[in-house]
Amino acid sequence: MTNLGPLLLLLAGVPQRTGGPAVPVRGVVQAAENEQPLLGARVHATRSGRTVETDRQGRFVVWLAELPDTLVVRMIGRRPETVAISELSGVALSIKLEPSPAPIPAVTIYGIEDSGAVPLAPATWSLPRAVLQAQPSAVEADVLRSLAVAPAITFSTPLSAQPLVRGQDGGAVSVRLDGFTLLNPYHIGRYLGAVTPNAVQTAAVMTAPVGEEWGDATSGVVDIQMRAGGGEVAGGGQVSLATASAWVGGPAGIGRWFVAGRHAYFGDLPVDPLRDSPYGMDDAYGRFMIPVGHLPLEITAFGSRDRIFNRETGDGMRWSSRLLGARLPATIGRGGRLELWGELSAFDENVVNVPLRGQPLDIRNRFSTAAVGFRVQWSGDSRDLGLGAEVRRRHMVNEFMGGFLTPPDLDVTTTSAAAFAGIDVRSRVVSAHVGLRVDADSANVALQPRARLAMAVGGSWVLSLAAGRSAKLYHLISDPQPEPDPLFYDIWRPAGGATPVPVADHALIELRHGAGVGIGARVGAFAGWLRGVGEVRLISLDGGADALRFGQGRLYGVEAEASSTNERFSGSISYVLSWSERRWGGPGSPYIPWIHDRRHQVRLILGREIGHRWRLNSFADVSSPEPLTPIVAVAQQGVLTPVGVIRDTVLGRFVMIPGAENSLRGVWVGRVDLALTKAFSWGGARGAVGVSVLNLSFTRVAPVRAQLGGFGGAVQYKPLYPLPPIPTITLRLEF
Amino acid sequence: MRSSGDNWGRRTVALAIFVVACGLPRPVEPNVRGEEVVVAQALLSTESTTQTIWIERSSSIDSTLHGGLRPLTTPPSLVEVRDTLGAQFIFVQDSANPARFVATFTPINGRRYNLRIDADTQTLTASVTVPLGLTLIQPALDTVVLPAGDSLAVAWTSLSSRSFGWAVTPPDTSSWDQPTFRFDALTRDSTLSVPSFEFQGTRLLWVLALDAQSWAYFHLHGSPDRLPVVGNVKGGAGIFGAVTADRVVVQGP
Repeated sequence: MTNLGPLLLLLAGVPQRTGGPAVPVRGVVQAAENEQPLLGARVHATRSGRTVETDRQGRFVVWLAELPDTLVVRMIGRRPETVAISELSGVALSIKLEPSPAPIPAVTIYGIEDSGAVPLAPATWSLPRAVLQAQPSAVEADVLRSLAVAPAITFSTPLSAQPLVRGQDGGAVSVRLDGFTLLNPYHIGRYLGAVTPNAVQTAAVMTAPVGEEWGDATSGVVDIQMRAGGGEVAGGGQVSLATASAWVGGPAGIGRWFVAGRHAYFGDLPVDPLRDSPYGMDDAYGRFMIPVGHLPLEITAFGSRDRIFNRETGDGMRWSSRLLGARLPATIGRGGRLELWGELSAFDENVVNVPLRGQPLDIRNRFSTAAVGFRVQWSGDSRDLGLGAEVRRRHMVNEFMGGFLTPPDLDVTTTSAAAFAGIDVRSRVVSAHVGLRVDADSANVALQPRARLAMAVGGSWVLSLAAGRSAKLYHLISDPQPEPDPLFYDIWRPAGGATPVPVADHALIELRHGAGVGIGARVGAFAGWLRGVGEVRLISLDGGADALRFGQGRLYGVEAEASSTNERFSGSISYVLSWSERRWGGPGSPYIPWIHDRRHQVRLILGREIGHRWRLNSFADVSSPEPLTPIVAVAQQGVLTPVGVIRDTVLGRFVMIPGAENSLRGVWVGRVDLALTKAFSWGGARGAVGVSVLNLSFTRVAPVRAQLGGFGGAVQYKPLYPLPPIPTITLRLEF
Repeated sequence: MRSSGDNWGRRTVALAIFVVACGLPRPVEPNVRGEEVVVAQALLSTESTTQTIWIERSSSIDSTLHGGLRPLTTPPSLVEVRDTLGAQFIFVQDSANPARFVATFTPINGRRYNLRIDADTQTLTASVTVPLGLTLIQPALDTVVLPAGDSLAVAWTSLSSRSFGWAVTPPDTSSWDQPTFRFDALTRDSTLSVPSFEFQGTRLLWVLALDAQSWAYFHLHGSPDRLPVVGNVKGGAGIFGAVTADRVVVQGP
């Protein structure tokens, strides 16, 4: 039976004390093997009944109602650690968590038994590196593709690594690296992510409504936490069929450093339409902790580059993404933490005469953002308070030549500011959070309230509710389905004037049972209402000549997932039933299915030890058909002349005439991926060799499109592309 | 008598063939009902006093396609174009070619024109703004002589969008049976280099400025199987566009 008493007391602002003034205990949680700060570790005071999570520097402050008390520290993929606190020494605790030998399931559902308190954040998935590396892959393990273990994440097709969250477009997701803005972190046509998994500690997926500290996201945030250097020099390398990567990190006095890099080169990339063109890609990462007085200045640097040009014609494309972020954390008083931060992030893209859907394009795109800000968190007796602010400058350039519908050129610089504040109240049985974010520039002010509530409802079950608004002051509109063409682009538009502000209101309810007692389960329902949704107009169904269209959207659905793990086996299964619709004609016009609306989605993720240090991992996905715009008729085109159209000629191609947009459904798609890994030790090093096959089942993975049959044949519907099984061999060695 | 091992081997092969067959890009057949759509195609041209609109019915999606005109079984009761100043231009059906409708007028650069076709139970509408004038700035002369092996450098200016095309035609515009307009002659550039072999004898080199919708409609020739086309005609399909041009006489080899 749910006890509402604590909830009422909580809401009344009455602290939950057992007696005596509470005292704060500070500490840092690190990885035992390399002293890397661990973000998101849960620290639970058993007697005081309080639980906190570590921040990006691994720091925590937990208020103890009485002494002695015991801290239990837990984190996915690591052994729990217990620390007895009998008296306060005034020195911050240093807690190190050992890696867990048990297999890590792809999905771990947190419940009460895992942390000793009601977890507050619903619809959040945290994926450690081991999970990201274990997922079957093509070319090599990919951080962004591996996000498919979260049922809220989908992709337009298996050839895209751009995550889509719950029925919204790729531009609605904010990808972060150590919390800093990462722009277009992709290689070759968004087939691959540009962040090498071997340099990653964890990747977190948060679906809207996210915390108010996150901006520039209306569907969700993917926060990739990179590795850091430890107390000893350690590193490794990996080679696969296509790439080579290396990483190393260690101490520099009391500072830390970590660098990683990856490289691939093809003399002739076997990808249309850029065959006979050499292709090179690189990505590099650096993370440094530099002592500044008593404070640790943390620097994150990232760069990626792609280049492919035909030697003879000069046609091709190149793009790069760069990030430099700095963070200076400090403590304030007994329970406060301050963080000053700044970032520079940039993306640029040059395309010369590369076809997209048969239309040659020239593109010159630039996007850069620079920001400074601060964040303060104060952990009190029974409440946590957070607030912060930032000032940001964005420069956006779009220049398109060619293509079916070409957006107008853009070269604009905007300045905006944001501020946020939120308060957490937690107890054994109830946790609540309310917050507000405000983003503003010269043309717009976006108020974004957000709230969450979680309560224990009996046994190990937790009921969570969340609602909130998210907004952006600019549009990031991606081509929704360029594949299989290896060309991608974004169109940016500042909101204001005729361009609406993108706003999303979300609500969700979730019931979950933690995996700590054998089987974790989660079932939830979500809904969203979208305004100012922008999209690239792929075909001009309404006769308009604008490259973009703006409208409204709505989405809703239910999710269910379950996971289980023991010493040799891990498994998770999820099912999503969802709807996502758009309306482009204004109020009164009908809603039509979103281009990637799939009603049903089932995923099965299994891992099993099958011998001494052999492991088999599989990923299976089945999804119901995407919407399809049918072809209802065919006509013969006239011939263009300076004096008009000529039709009384044998010339003139047949063209297809579409019916109502997205009025039909295409085909079911699905696939099975498999990975077999053997871990080994070699002297003082440890390694793994693995074989992975994407689409081992050789099943249909892409939606169908209409095309005219050859030699004047009837209209046919064929998959966008076939995807034969793609094998990958990977050898990884770490010292 | 077959051994169980043989049976399993055959089943394994059959399963593998089945799995492979699942992935092959074979056609699928969604339950699509075809429709008969009225297709109107027209480009108002500032280079002609006679404007033509082609009005036809579409072909079926299920059968093999055959080229040729497909006039409506019942002619439209009204085919008109009006400009924003209220002038009305009625298009009359060509008695020799029931798919062809003509009117005598010359569109004005920069002016907007609205099309209306009342066809049986359907009404088709569309609008276009005629591109602003285009001027050849290179070559500077109206007539040039191009020796064999040379290329003609062409440059132009236009206050319209970046939707251009070019064509080489016989000098007499009234005698075109098979115009030598090339599908790949649409361009976003404002310069051009045309080799001498394009000019056999005396020819006209046209540089065209199109409205954006027409440019896209005709540019889709590249891969019509990748992208369906509708154009800008509401209530039907096709294109109602406009073209303006400048030209130079080229005396080729």
